[in-house]
Amino acid sequence: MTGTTSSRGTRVLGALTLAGMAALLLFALVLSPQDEVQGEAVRMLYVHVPTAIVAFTAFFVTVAGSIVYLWKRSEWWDITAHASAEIGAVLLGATLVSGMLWGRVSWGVYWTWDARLTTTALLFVFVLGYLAVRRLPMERDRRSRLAAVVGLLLGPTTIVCHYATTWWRTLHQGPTITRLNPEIDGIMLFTLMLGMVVFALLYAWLLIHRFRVLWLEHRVEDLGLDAALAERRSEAEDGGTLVPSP
Amino acid sequence: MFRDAALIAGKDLRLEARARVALNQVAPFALLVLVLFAFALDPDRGVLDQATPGLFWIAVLLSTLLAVQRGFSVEAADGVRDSLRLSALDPAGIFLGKVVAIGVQLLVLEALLLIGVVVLYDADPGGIALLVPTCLAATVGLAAAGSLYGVLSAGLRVKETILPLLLLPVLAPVLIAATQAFEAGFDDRMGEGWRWLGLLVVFAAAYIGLGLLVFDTLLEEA
Amino acid sequence: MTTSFQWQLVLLCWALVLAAIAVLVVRSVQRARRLSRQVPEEQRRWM
Repeated sequence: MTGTTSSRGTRVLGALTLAGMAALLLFALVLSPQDEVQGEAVRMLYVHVPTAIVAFTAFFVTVAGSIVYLWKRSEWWDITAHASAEIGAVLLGATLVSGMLWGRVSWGVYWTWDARLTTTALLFVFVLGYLAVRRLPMERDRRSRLAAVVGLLLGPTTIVCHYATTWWRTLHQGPTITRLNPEIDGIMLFTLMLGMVVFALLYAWLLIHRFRVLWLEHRVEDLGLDAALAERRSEAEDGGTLVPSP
Repeated sequence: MFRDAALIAGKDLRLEARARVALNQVAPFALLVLVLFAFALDPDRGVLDQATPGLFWIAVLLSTLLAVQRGFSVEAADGVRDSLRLSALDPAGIFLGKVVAIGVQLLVLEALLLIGVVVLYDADPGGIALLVPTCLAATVGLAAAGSLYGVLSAGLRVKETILPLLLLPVLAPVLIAATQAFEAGFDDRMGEGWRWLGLLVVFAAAYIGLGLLVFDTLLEEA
Repeated sequence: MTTSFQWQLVLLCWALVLAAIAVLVVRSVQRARRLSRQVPEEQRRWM
């Protein structure tokens, strides 16, 4: 098909994702019961937890891609790291939004300065910084290497930011929020698992498409460069003086 | 590596000793931040008292940005960075030298700020045994992360705007941990403070290690 | 916390998240279409 980034594989994946999303909506909003403690708000769990987990996975893919890029200088990994961070940013944004709305229900406020929230927000800002580096106007190889280093630093930032608060949990003041009733109902557990699968599929699907879009972008950049070179060359030939005749 | 580090640190500190940019511009800026906070917050000390550790470290953080920018812009002129790159100096050594130079300046600044909060905010530096190692560990972390991002953004056209965006989220854990440790130090709750100090040490070690690994790539690109 | 208020927030949450994903998809499609026009066919034969 012309003008798209789809292939047979992505169409199958996309169809699966859409069907899965429909099923997830059905289970999350209709079939699953309300929670005894959380009430209806528990229905946000099925978007909050999967997006968080998939977003973190996406960032680790970015870190891995950055490391491999620095090591082997392969364009494939460079683009994978970039695409994964883009999708991770959207999913982490979804995590934050759903978390805030959920917070409005269970704590009465959209935001508390809980350690986990704060560090997640910081991580989000850091990823925005990474994406800003990817848009810097400069030569592509240099930009990719810079971005790869920033992407590499995303690793310790993710770990320090996110797990440090868990390791040092005893220090963390204020109430510790247990988000999930441990005696989770069977259908709720199933819905949660379905959510994980669906968002993982969504990630894979979007990753492939974003990869291809970025790949096209690189090709267009190359073409622009070639065209500019050709233009210079023809200018020089018209002038006649700059190019020594054979 | 350590000889190279000493060379670079010596060069930067000598430059600072002659130009006095950090002392004459960054340090007054940091004190200005303290005074502005005092204006903005409750002047009769209620809020100020509680917020002192946080404000201290915010001032340090903002000054770190300036110090890092300064530390790498001195090399922008006259192709100094190219000479550094071409010199046979070990990139890891250059990184350590930068960390030491920025760290020393920050330590001086922190000492001044500490006097500042004692005088202006009436803070009680009772747990000095905790405050000093906290300053040391936090400074190493700030200088290491700062040097990494400083050289990363040094060659860019948008360096003034991209550096804060990249650096501040990374430094936020230092802000949190150092603030908590200071709170413990000011309130004489030492036990808690030591654990935050541990976090600072981990952070500093992580960024020193990363810097040693990736600095040559970054120096090439700068 | 009334049930209807909870439902409002739940629906808002899902709507926002799905909308964000939809925006990403639509923008990707538009970008792909625009870029494809500039890139020769043989460089975009997807597996």
